[in-house]
Amino acid sequence: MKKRLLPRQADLALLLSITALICTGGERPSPCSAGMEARYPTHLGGKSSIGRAEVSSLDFTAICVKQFDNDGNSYYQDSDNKIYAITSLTKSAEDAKAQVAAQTARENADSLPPSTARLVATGTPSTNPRAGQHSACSSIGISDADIDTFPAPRKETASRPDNLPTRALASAGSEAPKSAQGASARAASSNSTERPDPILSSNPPSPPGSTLSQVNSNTTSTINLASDLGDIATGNELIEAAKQSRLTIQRSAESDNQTLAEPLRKLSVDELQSALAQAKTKINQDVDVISGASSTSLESSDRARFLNYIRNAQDKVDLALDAIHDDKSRENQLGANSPFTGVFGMKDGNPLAKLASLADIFGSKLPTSAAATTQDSLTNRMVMLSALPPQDRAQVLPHLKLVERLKLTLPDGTKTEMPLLHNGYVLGGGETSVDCSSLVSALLPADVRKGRLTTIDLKSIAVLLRTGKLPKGVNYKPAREKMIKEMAWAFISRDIYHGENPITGDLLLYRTEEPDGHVMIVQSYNPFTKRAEIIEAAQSAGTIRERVVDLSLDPMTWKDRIFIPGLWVLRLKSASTRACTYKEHTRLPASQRKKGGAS
Amino acid sequence: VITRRLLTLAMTCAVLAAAVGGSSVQSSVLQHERLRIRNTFKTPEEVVSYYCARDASGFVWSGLLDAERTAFTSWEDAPQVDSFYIAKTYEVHPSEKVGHDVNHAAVQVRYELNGIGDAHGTRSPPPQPDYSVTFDLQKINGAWKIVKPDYAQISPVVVEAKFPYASPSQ
Repeated sequence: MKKRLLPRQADLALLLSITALICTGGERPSPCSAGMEARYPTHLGGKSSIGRAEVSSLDFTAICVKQFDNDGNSYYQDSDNKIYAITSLTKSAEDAKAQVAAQTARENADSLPPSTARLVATGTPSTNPRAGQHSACSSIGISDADIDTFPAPRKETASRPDNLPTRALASAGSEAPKSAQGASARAASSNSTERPDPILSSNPPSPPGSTLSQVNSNTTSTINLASDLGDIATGNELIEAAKQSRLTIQRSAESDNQTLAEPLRKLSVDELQSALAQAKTKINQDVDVISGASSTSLESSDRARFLNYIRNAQDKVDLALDAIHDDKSRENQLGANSPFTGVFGMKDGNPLAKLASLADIFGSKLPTSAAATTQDSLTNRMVMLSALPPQDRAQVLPHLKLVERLKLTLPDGTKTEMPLLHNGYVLGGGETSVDCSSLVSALLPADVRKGRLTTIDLKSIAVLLRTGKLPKGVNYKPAREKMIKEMAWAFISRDIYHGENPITGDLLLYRTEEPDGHVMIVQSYNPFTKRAEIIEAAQSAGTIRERVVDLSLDPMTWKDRIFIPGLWVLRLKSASTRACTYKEHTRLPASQRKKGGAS
Repeated sequence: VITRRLLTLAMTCAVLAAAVGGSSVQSSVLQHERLRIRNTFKTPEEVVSYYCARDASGFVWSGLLDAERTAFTSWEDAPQVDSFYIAKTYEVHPSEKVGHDVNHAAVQVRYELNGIGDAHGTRSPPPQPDYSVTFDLQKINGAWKIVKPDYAQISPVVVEAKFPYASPSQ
C-alpha cells in the first residue's frame, strides 16, 4: 500500500542520502558505490551527469562517463571533462547501415567538420575546476582550451576528430538519411546505452596513436555500436509489435462480437430468457469441467483467471434472468412494438440488452476499439456463445477469431476439448516455447502478464542474473523454477541505481517486498528528469496505455533526484533482430530456433 | 426442524450484525461472492465486505468488471497487480465516521497473512503476519463508494480457502 510505502521510501531515500553524502564528501548525494566513479562535475548547462564509469575509445582507450546535453543527446566525457564523441542511436538495422554509410562518406572527406569548429568557437565558459590540465585529448586534435569552451553538443552536429576513422560513432549528422534522422530523434532521448566492453576490460590497450590501437578501438567501437543498435532495434520492434498486435486483437474482438451477436438479434425477450437459461446451464457445466479437470492445457494462473471470467459470465446471466423476471413482474417489458427495439436491432446494438435493465448488465452497444477487449466484453461474448443453441454454436465457432480449443483431462481420465473465448493471446503453459519478442509482448497486457511471467518472476530473473541465485525466501514449484532459470538467459539485468539507464524496449519493473509489482516497457528515458515514457497495460481500457512515470519522488527542482527503491531493469537480448545475432541464439538446436529459441 | 430454525436464526443474526456494523464479518463462505453491478448497500462496511469477499476469491486480482468498479468505487481504473497477499482470514471492522462529515466513513480490515504469492503457486513470506487496510468511503449519489486507497495503491488479498490457485500444491 502506498500509504505504508511512502514513509518507507522516504526512509530509504534518507539512508541513501546519508550514504551518498559520506561518499561524496558533503556534495549533493549521488548514487555511488564502491568501485564506481564518483559523479563528475559538469559544465554543460549545469545538468546532472550520470555517475557511471564507461569505456569509450577513439585512438586510445579512456574511462569515460556517458553524459547528456540539454537535448538529451549523449556524449562521452573523461575524468578531466574532456569530450570525446557524440553518439546517437538509430531505430533499426537499416537505419544503422545508412548511418554507417553516411559516416564512412564523411571519413573519406578527411577534414574536420565545419560544425565542430563553429561549436568550439562559440562555446560557453566553463566552470570546470580542472580547466587547463593537459590530457590525452590534445592527441586527437582537441586542445584543452577548446575543451573548456566546448559547448553542449547538439543533435544536429557531429563533433569528432577529423583524422580518425569513426565508423562506430555514427551520428545523426546532416549527411545521414532522413529516415535515420527521424528514427534517431526518438532514440536520442533514451540513448544511454552503457555497455561494459569485454574486449577492452580483458585486454590492455595498445599505446595511444599506434595502428594496432586504432584497429582495436575501431573494432571495439563497432561491436559496441552494433550491440547498442541491436538493443534499440529490439526495443523498437517490441513496442511496435505490441501496439500492432493489440490493434489486431481489437479488430478480432470486434469481429467476434458481431459474429456472436448476429444470431441473437432476432430473438424476442422471451426467447432471450430461454437462451439465457440455456446459457446458465452451459456455463455451469463449463465451470465444473474446468475446475474439476485434473489437468488442462492452461497453466495454473490462466486457469484461475479464466475460471473467474467464466464465473463473472455466470453471474451476469443470473443477474440478467433476475432482471427479466423483475421486469416481467412489473410489466415493464419492452415488447415487439417498443421504440427501443429498433435500437437493439442496430448493427452496433447489443442483442443481450433487449431491456433497459439488461443494458445495465451487458451494455447497450457492442463495444468497439479498445473496449472490445475488456473483460466486460469477453464475458458478454461468453454469454452470447453459451446462449446459442448447440447447432448454431457449432456453426459460429469456426468464424470466431479469439477462441482456443482448451484441452482438458477429466478426473476419470477422459480427455476432452472445450472452446474457450479469450481476449487475444495464444494460450499455453510455460513449457510452450516462445521467442523473446512474443515473450515480452505477452508481458504487456495485464491479463497476459498474470498468465506468464509475473513481477515476482521478473525480479527473480534480475536477481538471478546479478547474483547467480534466485532471491531468498521465494519458494517456486520445481518446474516453474526451472522455467525461470531457462528464461533468464534471454535478458540482461541493468542496475538503474548505478547509472545503467533504461533504453527503448527495456522492461522497467517496480517491485518491493509487497505485492504491488508493476512492469512497463520503456519507450524513452530522460536521465535529467528521471522520467520515463512507458507503455503499459490499461486494464479498464483493455489495451495499452502510454504515459510518463517519474522514477524519483524528489522535487523536480532538486539537482540530483534519487530513484525510488524497488526499480529493476531487464533488457531483452537482441537475439532475434535483424541487427545482430548472438552466438547463444545460433548455438541453439534448429528445432528450438524455429520456435523462437528463447527457452 | 429445531436445528433448521436455529441455523436460520444464527444466519439472520450474522447478517444483521454485518448490516448494523455491530460486529466484524468473518470470511467463512466457500462460494464466491456473486457479482453485483448495482450498489444497494446501506452501510460502508457492507460495501467493504463485498469488496473483500470478491477480492478473497481472486476477482480483484483477475480484474474488476467496469460495471462493478464504478458501482462500488470511485476508481478510474481497476487494480492490475499480478501478485497478491495470501490471507488465512480477515475481519471487516465497523465503520467509523471521519470528522463531522456524515458522507465520509472509514472501515478497517485486518488480515492474517500466510504469504505473498502469485497464481503459479510461487510464494514468499509476508513482511508481517498482520496486515490491515483502512478503506475511506464517501457517499456519492446516495451510494457508499470506496475512495481510498486508490486503485494503484491497493494490493489484492486472496483467501487461501477460496482461491486454491495460490497454494503451492495446486
